[in-house]
Amino acid sequence: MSDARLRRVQKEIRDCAKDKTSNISIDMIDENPFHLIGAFPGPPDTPYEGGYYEVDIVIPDAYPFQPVKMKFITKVYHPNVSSASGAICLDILKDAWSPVLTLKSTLISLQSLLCEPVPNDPQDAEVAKHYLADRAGFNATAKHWAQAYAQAPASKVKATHGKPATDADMAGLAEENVVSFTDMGFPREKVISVLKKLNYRGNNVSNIHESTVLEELFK
Amino acid sequence: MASPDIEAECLTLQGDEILALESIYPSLIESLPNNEIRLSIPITLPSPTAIILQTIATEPSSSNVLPTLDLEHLPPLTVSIALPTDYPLKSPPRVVDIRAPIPGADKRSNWLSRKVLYKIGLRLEEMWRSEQMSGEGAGVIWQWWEWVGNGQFFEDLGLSQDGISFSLWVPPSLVPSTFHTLLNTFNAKEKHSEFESVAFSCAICMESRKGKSCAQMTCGCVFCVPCLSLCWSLAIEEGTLENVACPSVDCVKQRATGKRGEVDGSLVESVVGHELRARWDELKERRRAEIDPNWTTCPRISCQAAVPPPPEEDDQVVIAPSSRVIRLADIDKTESTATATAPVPAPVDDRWARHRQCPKCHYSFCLYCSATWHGPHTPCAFPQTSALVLEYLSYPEGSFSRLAMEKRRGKANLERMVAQWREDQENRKWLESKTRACSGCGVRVEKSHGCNHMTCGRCQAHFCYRCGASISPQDPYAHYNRPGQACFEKLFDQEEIDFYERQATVGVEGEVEWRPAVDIWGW
Repeated sequence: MSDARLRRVQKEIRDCAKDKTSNISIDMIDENPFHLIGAFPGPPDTPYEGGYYEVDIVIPDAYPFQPVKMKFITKVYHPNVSSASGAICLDILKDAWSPVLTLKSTLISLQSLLCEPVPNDPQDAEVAKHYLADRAGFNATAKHWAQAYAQAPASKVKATHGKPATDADMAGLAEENVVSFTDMGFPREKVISVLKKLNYRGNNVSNIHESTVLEELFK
Repeated sequence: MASPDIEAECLTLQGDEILALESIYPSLIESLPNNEIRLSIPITLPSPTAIILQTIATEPSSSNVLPTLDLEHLPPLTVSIALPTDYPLKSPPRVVDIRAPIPGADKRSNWLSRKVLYKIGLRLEEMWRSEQMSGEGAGVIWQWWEWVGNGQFFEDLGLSQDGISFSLWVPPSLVPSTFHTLLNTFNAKEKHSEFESVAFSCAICMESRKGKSCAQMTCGCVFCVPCLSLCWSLAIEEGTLENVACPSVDCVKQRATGKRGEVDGSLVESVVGHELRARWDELKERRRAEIDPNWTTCPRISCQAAVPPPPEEDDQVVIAPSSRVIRLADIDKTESTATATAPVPAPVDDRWARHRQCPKCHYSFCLYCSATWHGPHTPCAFPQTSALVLEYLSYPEGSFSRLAMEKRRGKANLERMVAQWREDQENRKWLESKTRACSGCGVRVEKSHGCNHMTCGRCQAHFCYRCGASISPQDPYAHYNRPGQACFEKLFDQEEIDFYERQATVGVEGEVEWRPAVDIWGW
């Protein structure tokens, strides 16, 4: 069984190396063929365009009859990817896995997940809320993240924003909203985490009373 | 007679033609003496085609209409051809013998009529003539072979009315259904050997495998047996039964969206072996028992196999409605549940209906109380029945749990049990409030009137009806006469005294039984 697994993984790595059109790479970290790093470019016409995304791949003992374990190494701002751990919420990595799927096809699925988020089944609730409440703001933040963590060319981001991203930008928050609370004497870090948690963004700002924010800040 | 030159040229041409045929169709050509060759031409239609079987029977009746066959392969024609010395330049090849034997049937039977076979033979000569006209003078056997082998002759010889389906006459020597089966079997066998010889690329191990070591599922997907075996064995061992199905991406997606992807049991057995197949069946049954309220599990802890409901007997269903007592309340409820959940079976008042036997350990038990089968006439021991009724009553009317219980045990059965239980409860309540157990034998005694000193009619024990204590038969009233006793001056309850006083003052006669009172007052 393990022989078949090794043969298949080696074949997959070889085939992927031969295929120059998909732009997907699979590399070994060390001598172990069952712990790999996959990488693919961010899909065009998305906030992730120009970024380069690395994925940690662990091949389970019962591969390919059990799904491969994948998580983003590169930080991604996406509703179905945990912004903290890189964990991915995707059906084919769980119950919709088929032994016919390969490392390459799974990485392609991740790439298309970046194109089409599924906010109703989120991995990161805060990001999903941001995505649903304020699409433009979400896209800007995702771009900031692509620039900061995935080596997306800065020029593109600067063209839309004009200056380097701040910690408020990275959290998808408006600077003036952050300042209005830091001016009251709360530490900036705490303000950002509370506003993120409350999804204090876009139209939502008018729905959230200042006292709610203060209540959270005093906790 | 042709000149030796021409004959020599013809001999070369013949040799070339036979060599070419042999290299295309190895082992299908046999050289016979007298410059004859015997061909065995397999017939493969370009796509599965409907074949309608017709019988010579004069009157078409429904009994001899056979189901249409869907065939791709037909048994080969065996043809013996004599090649004249001046073929192909001057003379046509001559069909010596042409037959369409049916594998598995009598050697003289042909699946094509003599007339059709004769026409097929004639076509060889016609082909040669048209070839002559074009001046090529080349051999025509290959061309004719093609014409026969791809079934083109069906159309050209008018065996098809609509161009989509072909008709065949059932040979007189064969029973139509036998002919049908033989053709079908041949087709299946050919398809199988075709599948076995073709190479498939298994999408799991990514290796190319001969069809012989592959398996094809009903969905059409093909995987190699070693991969399927690993996949399904793992699924069976881990109990993820939904994975014992086609592992292709599309089929997995379809199953994830609720479509069923059943795999044939014999295929599973051929892939994972007998032992795992048995385990798979067992797990499936067990899961079914969990989902289907008609099933239950064997109550023996060491067994716990899934136990199916007894096979439904038709007469049982017919007799059932008349044999049960119909109450108004029942009619209302059965109708409303019938609309809510269609599969609820008609309530059957059959005491054998609660009998179950485990197919694995053969334990025979009662569905209601899970105890060893106590026969159709003995009611379940009370505690179990009571627990069952309490469970049933604890679910709100119309709830899923209630419907599930009704489905499993029968609505009428449950209602009868509830009614019985309610009656028992009422009886018990009444017994507790209106009667007193004899301190000697425990029999319940009701006091209709009179004092609290009781003498049991059965065991003659003396006891106090008020507190239940035994009273000395020698001095029974000491219980009521000694100050400090709980029943001091309570030989009569206050209501009893009031009653008699009222009777005395009103002085009603004849209306109530007055006599006992007189007796009592007279102590």
